Amino acid sequence: MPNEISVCNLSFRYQDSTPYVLKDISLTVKKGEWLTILGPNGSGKSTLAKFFNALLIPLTGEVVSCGKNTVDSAEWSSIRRDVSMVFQNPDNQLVAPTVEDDVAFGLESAGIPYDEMHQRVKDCIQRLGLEGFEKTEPHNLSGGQKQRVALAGALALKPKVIVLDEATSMLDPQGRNEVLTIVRKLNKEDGVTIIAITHDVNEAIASDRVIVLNDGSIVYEGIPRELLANREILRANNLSSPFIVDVARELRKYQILIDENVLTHEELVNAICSYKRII
Amino acid sequence: MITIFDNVIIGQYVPRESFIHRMDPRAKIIAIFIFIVFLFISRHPVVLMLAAILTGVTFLLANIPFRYYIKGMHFIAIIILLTFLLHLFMTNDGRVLLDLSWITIYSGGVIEGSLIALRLFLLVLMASLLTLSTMPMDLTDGLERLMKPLAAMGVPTHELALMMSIALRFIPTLLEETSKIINAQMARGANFSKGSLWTRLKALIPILVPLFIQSFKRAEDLATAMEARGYNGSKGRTKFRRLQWKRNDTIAIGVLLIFALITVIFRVYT
Ligand SMILES: Nc1ncnc2c1ncn2[C@@H]1O[C@H](COP(=O)(O)OP(=O)(O)O)[C@@H](O)[C@H]1O
Ligand SMILES: [Mg+2]
Repeated sequence: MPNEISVCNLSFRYQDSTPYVLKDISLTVKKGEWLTILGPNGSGKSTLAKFFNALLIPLTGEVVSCGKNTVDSAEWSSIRRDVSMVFQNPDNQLVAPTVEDDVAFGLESAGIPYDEMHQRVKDCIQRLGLEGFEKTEPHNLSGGQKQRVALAGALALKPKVIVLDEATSMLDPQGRNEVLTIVRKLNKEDGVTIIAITHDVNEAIASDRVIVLNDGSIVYEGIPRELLANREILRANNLSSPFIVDVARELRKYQILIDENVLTHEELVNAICSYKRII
Repeated sequence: MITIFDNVIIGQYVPRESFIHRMDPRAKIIAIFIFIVFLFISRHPVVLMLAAILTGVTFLLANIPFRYYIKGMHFIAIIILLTFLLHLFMTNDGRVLLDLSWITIYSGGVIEGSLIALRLFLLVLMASLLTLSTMPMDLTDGLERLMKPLAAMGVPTHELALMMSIALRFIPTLLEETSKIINAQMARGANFSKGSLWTRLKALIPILVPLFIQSFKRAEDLATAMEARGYNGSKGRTKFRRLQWKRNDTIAIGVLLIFALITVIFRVYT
């Protein structure tokens, strides 16, 4: 599989007088993959994300996004169309006074012609289940709806990669589910590459691969299942293990010997049911 | 929880299917501009009557109930009343109507005061019609296109329009936030209605500081989000909204131009 994004020996600090925020990072993101980047607050996740779509430009190291080197300023517009981003705070990323105007914002910037723009706005609003909200003002939407608007605006540009920088961390459980369901669909059905940044271990479960960032360095890379079973790594990086894993572990303490690898609600229920049958 | 600021700006638009609603925002802005300028050119009763008829017809065409106009008018009503009283007391023309030891009211004062009040009332009614019948976005758009010729002179018209649109987007959010902060401070025992002016001003600091900090954070986030969405200034930018000048718009402007002409004639010949 070709690489959608490759980062090579990237180091970065905001000022010459401040410590490095990213230290010799190298990673690749494959086409169609769903990558989760985990890490505690201040570990440099958002900073790293800004390199993917040329919001930050490397001085040391190299970032190539969708075949384009981000040092080349002539490519920035096109890179930002290919790599869309949804940010954390739903209130601070919608620009326009109505939903449809906001979804159109990126298309206007990209110079998409009138008719095509209207078609795409309509499609994306429909895809994200926002019909009927076209003329609504953002401040009248719920957090989950606002993030869906942001996602619609990102999707309208037909990106190859969508980067979610803690896009669900300020949402209630329902809003979080709304957004994650759509992201899953975009990844599985449309083959959009997803880079999901989070400090919530539970969100990593459904992804293909996890990278753990701590203090500007990559400290772990692997599949979610292995990471979640690895208490030492989780503890060392200030990540709390998922509730289900804790429950299973406690059960085992009481000699209820169910499978060690349960990660989801469903798996736990199945494990307990089949355990009963064995007895 | 008090919600202090409900429906400040956006709540103004009243959706209807009317002649006025369907007009091009540019036409509405031009028409109202003409109306306001020429309303003050002549004070002949015929002109004022025409202006009143014009306002009346527009009001009927817009099909928006009068209570919507009143909603935003408390403040303006006070201004109109003050202007009326000022003219009433300050004019020393015509017959004496009332002679108290400390003040004398002349017939000229009543006439002058009423004329001014009527003009202001018509002006406010027309201006409200604009905001009540036009979505804020369309208004911004109309203004941007009308200002376009100024772009050649170096006026940043696109940026001004963007600023307006961002203001429209964030004013409700900021007001909501102000409400929240006020409530939070009151829950901690802050009091905004007691004490000397100085004490009360000081009580505002705990509201303004978090508000400013939040706003700077917001502005920074927003700038990043806009950049991430490829914002690049007006260069090569296409528009989601398209304005369409129709025959009705030309007719409306025509009517206003006739009104303008009449006012000028009355001004010159009477
Ligand atoms: N614009 C900035 N200027 C200076 N320092 C910054 C800036 N943004 C982030 N930092 C610093 O960089 C470090 C990493 O921040 P960030 O990438 O936001 O981490 P995360 O997203 O993982 O919480 C933090 O110590 C933060 O203080
Ligand atoms: Mg962050």
